[in-house]
Amino acid sequence: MSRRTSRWSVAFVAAVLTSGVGVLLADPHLVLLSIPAVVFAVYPHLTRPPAATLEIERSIAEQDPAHGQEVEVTVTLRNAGDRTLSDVRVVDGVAPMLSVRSGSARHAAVLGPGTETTFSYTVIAKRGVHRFEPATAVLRDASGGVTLETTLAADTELACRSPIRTLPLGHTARYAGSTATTDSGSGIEFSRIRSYRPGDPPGRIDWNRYARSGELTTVSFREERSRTTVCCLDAREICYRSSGDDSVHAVSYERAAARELLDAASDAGEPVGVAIFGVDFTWLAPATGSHHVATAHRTLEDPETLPIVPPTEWDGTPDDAQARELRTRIGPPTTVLLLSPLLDEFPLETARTLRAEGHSVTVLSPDVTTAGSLGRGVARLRRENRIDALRRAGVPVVDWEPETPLETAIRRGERR
Amino acid sequence: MTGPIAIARRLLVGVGAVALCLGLLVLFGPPVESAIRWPWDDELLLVAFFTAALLLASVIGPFVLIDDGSQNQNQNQNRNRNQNRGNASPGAPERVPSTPTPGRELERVLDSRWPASLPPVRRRRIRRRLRRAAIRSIVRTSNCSKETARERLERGVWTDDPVAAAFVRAGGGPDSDSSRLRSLVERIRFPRRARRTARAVLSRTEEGEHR
Repeated sequence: MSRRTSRWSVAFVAAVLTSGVGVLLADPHLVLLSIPAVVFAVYPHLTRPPAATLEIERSIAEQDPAHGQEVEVTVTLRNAGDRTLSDVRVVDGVAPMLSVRSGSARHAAVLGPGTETTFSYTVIAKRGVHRFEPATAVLRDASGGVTLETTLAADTELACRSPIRTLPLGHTARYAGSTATTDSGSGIEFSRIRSYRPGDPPGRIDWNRYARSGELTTVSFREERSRTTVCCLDAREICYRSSGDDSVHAVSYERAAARELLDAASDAGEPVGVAIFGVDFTWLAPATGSHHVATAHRTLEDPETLPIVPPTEWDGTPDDAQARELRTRIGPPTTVLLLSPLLDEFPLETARTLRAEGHSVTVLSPDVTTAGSLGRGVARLRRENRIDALRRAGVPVVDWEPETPLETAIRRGERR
Repeated sequence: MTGPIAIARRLLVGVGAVALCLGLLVLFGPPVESAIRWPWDDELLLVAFFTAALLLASVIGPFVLIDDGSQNQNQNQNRNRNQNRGNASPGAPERVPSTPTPGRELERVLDSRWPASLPPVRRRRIRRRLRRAAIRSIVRTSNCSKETARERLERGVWTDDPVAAAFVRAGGGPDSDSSRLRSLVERIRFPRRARRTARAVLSRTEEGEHR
């Protein structure tokens, strides 16, 4: 977006006034005095406006950093045009949940044709996959009379992953088809033999028995079904809480954990769905396949469904209505992995209701509470009490301190 | 360098040089000054030129002042547009967007240095929360049922602090038919009583966990 600044407008006003008064008073001195002002007023119209010929390249020193580790980000700006950019000012689009520890994400330079400049800064890695925003560049011409504001996109991700091998408690299925059912079907475990009925598939006829006795029989196997899992994220207003300044809020941790859970379920070939409580309810029905998992990842990264910067307006669907919608969406008994910081009663009630309706519920709760004041201490106590109340109600809870790897937290939760 | 801007630039340099020479002649050569006659004698034309110049300056002047003031604001808005639409301002890119810590509402009452006068709805809510926290803490630390915990709470045997015990007891709040004076005293004493109750619940839980 290009715009003309008001830097030289003062000269224009001075030129007009001086010459006007000079003419009125018939004073040639005043008219002559207006000449420098006229020159300054015309000057910005004679310089070339800046062209958006800037290119950006961003690189990250550490590909797989640990939580809390310092990571150096290097940004290179290149003038790909054939004219000098006399005033380049850039603010890099640091991912919202990353904070700059040292250096500066801002830079200013003069760039000749084909030349480049480099600057670097250090961010602190936090759990999750952090996508950098486009950098914002402001270009000015030599006179400063025209400003061009543009964005420079460079696809950069900082992934601070915490992969898991197993899905949390209450979820016994570790690979596809490991959930045994009482129905006979097309599995691999022998169930029973019965007389052949027209329409039975030839592959299930016991040909050995037919060779021995001439009797046509059909073998049934125990049918194996994979369990359906729904990752349910609590991203209501109260969940946008963090342990202090420059700290990541609970919803960001939930998103990081959901990503790992999705990948674990996907690796096991299990149907997995996504539900999000937020301004409105979001639902992605359980399914399998890489295309579905990619859709689920996109849903988690969509700023409309799961905003990472806290929204300012919360006039959406009420909490109760969202919980009701979840219950109507998940039909048969399902494994629900409820991700919530447990900062109010809603997740407690939802987990209890789902469990009462026959679903297997596990709560994974990132801990963002802190000590340091009486109010914070009570908030922490109330969360611990909720965890206890859930466990007493038979709902397993993984109490996750984000500094701890997710796998460790899940194993610790299994031991309780 | 043969574009229209380059031609205009050269032309203007020429005009400027000629103007400068003429100006110097007018200033330092009196005979020249007397030779140059003002081209128009019509006063109406002079006044009209001045009025037009003044009007132009008056129209542009305010824009100059306003534009300078709003320039920084526009730049911030443009930057925000690059972020998520409809979301809170991300502020400086070097920092994580600020979000409150859990327990902020209680902190304002329990950790405030100044006496706060809270409306009845908020007082009832805080009392309810502390009562529930006390019951659940008793259940957790004593491994008893909720009914037993509630009964201990009513008897006030869960803490040594009589103020805390009375605060979370059912009906521990102000009576609906209480006098204005009692209601005022209750309002003033509320933060202190809530603070003592919070401390009692926390120390009770801590002791229970160490046992």
